Amino acid sequence: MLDFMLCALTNLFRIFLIGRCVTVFLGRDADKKKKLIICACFYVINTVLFWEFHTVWINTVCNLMGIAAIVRLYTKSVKTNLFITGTIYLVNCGCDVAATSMFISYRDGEAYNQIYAVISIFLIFICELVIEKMITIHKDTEAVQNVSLVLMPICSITVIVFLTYSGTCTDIGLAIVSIGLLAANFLMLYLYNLLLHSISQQYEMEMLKTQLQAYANQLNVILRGEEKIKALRHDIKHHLNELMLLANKHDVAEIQVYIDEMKSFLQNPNEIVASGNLEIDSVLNFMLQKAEKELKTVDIKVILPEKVRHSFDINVLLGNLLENAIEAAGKTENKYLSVHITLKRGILKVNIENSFESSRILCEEQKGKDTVLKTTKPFTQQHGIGLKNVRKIVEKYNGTMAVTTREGIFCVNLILYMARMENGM
Amino acid sequence: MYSIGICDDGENICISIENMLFQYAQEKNIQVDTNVWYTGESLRDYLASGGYLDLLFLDIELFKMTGIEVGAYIRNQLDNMGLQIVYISGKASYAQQLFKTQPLDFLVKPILQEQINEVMDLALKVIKKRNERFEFQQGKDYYYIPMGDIVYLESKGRKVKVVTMKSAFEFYGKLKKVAKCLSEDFIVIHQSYIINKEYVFRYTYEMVELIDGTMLTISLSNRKFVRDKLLREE
Repeated sequence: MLDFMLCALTNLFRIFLIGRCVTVFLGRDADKKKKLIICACFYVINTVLFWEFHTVWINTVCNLMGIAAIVRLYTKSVKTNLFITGTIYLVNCGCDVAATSMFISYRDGEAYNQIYAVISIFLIFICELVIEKMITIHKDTEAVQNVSLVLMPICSITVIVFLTYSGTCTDIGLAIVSIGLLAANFLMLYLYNLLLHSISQQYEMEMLKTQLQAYANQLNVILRGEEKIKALRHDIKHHLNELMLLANKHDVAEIQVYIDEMKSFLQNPNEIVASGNLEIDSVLNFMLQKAEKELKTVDIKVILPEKVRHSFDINVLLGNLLENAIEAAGKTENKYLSVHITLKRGILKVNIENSFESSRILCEEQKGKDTVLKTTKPFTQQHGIGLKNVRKIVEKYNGTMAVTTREGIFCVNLILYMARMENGM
Repeated sequence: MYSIGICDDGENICISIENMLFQYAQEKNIQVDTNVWYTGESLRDYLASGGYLDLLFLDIELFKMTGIEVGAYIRNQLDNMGLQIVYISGKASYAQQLFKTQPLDFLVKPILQEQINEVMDLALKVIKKRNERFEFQQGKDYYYIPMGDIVYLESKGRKVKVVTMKSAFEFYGKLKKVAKCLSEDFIVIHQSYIINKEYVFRYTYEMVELIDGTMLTISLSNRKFVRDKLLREE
């Protein structure tokens, strides 16, 4: 009975890990309900078959089919499916072999097979964490947590190995300890998930806060513009009279001065971009107001249709890029910033240039094809998240980004595909 | 000689743009011929009766027939993709439909000489490229068509098919060889398709939709190449 419980528990943990592994491989989550149903079926069938038959080939087939079914939820591509299924199964097998070979000299018996399974599951757990770390290395997760995470299964293995070899513990005791360790590991993974979730939520909240600030600013801009127009409308009779008087005097120069004054009165210094997209205008005006205050030359060209889809992502992208650009330009003598944004033939093109101090900054590091730029900011740890998010968004829209430097000018060039075609493969 | 149209309901704006164009022409030592219309209808009538223009400065907010309608008329009714349109407007927000007419640029009033110079530089470059000749042999006859008229080229067995808005030609040849004598407006998206970028309605990473509604797939091996080209252009 205890053995069966152990077997069931290890299997449960294993399938949970497989599910997590697939998510890590494909980078996103599938429909949760479907995944739960498939995992549950896989679990029941797998456990029953394993317990009833103890036959290698039935196990292999069942496992492969189960993993493939889970992967199928995420991707329709057969090639990817085969690759991921194969990799996961190989890791599983490898861990099983490693676990049993540790005890090859140990006496053979069914009861202890379950102990192998427990050790094997811890090994799989470690592998899964390592894979996760390798794949998500580009994303923003903290390194420290992962180390402590790996320590947990290693300790568990050590305890079990020690108990079996020292022989101080009965079989039943060993089984109970194993169950306890399994549960502890499982709980820790669960807590870790919660932690990650709350971190990402925190980040989202921060982003929304910035967005809100930008909206409030835009509202201000619009209100102030309206006020000025109201004031002008109120005084229009007076202005016309004045102009008429000047015209009667044939004083052209005076008229020009007067009109210029009216114009500059109407001009809203905070409304730098007015493309008609409330969301995008908000972020641009918010960021560029700062730029106009701090910088000498600010060159802006925004040509967008009045309605642009995915404006939230575009805002995150522009916000991050502009923040970096304005900060870097502010430290230089030229204080130069140029922002060009256009949407043409379904492609959003963003070009941001700013002056930068090449001596202080950054070393370009050739890492394969990618040019990795190091930050100018003193605290490298906090930095880089902005650009990482930009990269994520660029990837999401199949786009590409080029970062180049020339004679004190830092230049970011990127395109995003805004259109989706239904019959596109 | 370039013929340039200006359509705006403000007489003074037309005159000031005209003067700036003459200024530019003098500096660059080129010949320009300008035509001015104050309503969208009169411009439409001129174009409908076969009038020719290389470049058009078109006000968006006209009295009855708006610039948007004139632009759409030029592209959809007249099938004229060669005429370069520059929209001028009092504000910097643009309706969705304007983008469907593939404008060369947008200018916000008041318009400065610098802006006119910049637009003219770009327009002349585009017009020159469009007028380069593409030649091929069909039987014993040689054919010449302006590259700007070609929408796309397709490889069909041992033949190459040249598609324009109005007709299509076929001749014996290899698409790879043909690719070498095309201007930089063209881009290879597939081993059997080369498209003219001027005729693209919209791109996605995987496909291209042309102005006439043709959908072509960008082959797997060309997707990154096309994307990088698009990143670097202009």
